Amino acid sequence: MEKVVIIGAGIHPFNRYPDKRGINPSMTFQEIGRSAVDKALKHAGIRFKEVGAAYCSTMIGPISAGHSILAPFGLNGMPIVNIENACAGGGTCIRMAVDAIRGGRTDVVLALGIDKMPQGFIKMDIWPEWMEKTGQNLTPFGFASRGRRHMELYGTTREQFAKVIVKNRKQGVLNPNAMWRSEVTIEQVLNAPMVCDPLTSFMLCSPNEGAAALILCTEKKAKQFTTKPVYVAAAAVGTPIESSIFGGMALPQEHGMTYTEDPYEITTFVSNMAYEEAGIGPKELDLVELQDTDAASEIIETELLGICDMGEAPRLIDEGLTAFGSAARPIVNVSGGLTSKGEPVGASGLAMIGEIVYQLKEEAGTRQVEGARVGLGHTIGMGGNCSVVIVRT
Amino acid sequence: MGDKRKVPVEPSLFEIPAAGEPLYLNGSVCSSCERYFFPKVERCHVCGQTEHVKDTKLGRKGKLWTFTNCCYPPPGGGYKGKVPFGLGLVALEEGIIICSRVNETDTSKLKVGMEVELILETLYMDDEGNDVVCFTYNPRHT
Repeated sequence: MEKVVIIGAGIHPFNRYPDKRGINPSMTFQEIGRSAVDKALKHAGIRFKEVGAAYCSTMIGPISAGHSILAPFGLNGMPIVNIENACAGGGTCIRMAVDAIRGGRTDVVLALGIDKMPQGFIKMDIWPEWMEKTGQNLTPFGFASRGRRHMELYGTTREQFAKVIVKNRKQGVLNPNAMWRSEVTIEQVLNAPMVCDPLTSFMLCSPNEGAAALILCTEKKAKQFTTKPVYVAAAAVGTPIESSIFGGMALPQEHGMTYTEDPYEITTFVSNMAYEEAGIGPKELDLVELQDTDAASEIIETELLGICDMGEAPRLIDEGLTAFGSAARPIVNVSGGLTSKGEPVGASGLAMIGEIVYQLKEEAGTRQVEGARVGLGHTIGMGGNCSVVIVRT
Repeated sequence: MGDKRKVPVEPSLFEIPAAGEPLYLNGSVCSSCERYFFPKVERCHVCGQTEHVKDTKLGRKGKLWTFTNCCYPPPGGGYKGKVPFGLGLVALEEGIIICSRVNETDTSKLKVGMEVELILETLYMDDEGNDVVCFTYNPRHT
């Protein structure tokens, strides 16, 4: 099968600007997208006219988002496809790019993700009216419920959730693409306002704005541009079945789920597909960028990805084994994670892989993880969409 | 002036029971799959068929699967009740887990696996002075 190489990555720093709408008035949606595309093209050393297809992920962007972003680069008649797949949009773009290249449709694809998200709870029309009227239409409901169950089943503590944030914020200080670039203490995290018990405001990621782009191509084409290829080893995307409790927004489907003692977990299912496709197991990962929408999710998704057994991730956090500077592998969320970067939903999954590409090419500066050769990017979000992308040198 | 009335926050979810009568949720069941649903569905989400789906009453009792609370007003403006309030996932006797309000804001008083029963709570008073009520699950401290 055709090997697919990522030859360029560009990230427009994730941030938020303090105007009344929570939207940066000085830079438009299109300009933010172009900034990431420009960086990715320069990083690859390729000209836009060589790109044969573009996939653009956004959750709340305008109609024809990708078309309006890319027009000034010089349109060449290629297919531009806009994708809304919630948090998994970026991973879905990579999957579609890989399929297009492996299928022989084109030899160079641009994968782009962008969003400009207002501050606060994400307003989404996916919530049914009855849940809105009864006060259940908030994403932290699921995250907190899942965290609370982990506390009950495994004895996980609030302090351990706080330590996840202390770790990620410390790592975010080193990442110029992150929004929060200051360290916090366990006490600050625990004493922040409670949103949904056990999650305080410091334990939840912030919707914000940003963009990320990747240039993918055939192995043959990549030889023109790089002597250090980063390969896409797997690009898996999936959705829940009806007995999934914690897929999607970390809640059952709207009309309830079938009760089982051992619920089907979408992250386990999709990551197993990815491990099989890559021929790589979780113990071989050097870097993991995973969906830390909240402190509890980092712990739970670490377990569901098979990095450790269920209930073991709090110990990894206590011992700092997944923190930058640890001799153990993988390092989790060296970028600072969503809890440092914030989450422009459509861009998030691509920025995870962008970070891993920089790491694998040894271009990550002060946050460089020594000897990193294999990385995994994981997203899970609304609709139960989950993506797991594995890249390697 | 009539007596103050109780009005469901969303009429499709449940009916106000007559005095002395039990409260139920309005749901559906697929007799082919033996799968229950709440709220009602027209099509079974397991087999994808419509012919074996019929209305049913459910949800009198269950166990707390997990729980949390909501300390800020939810987005969108559709919710007009007080804050904070309890939330949780409830495993019903009918074999499904549903999202619900929980009649306890203080999570230290709750445990996974705790038995809960369906009750009504008043969310707010409407412009005509009626109590707008919602279903919630009340922990049974034994």
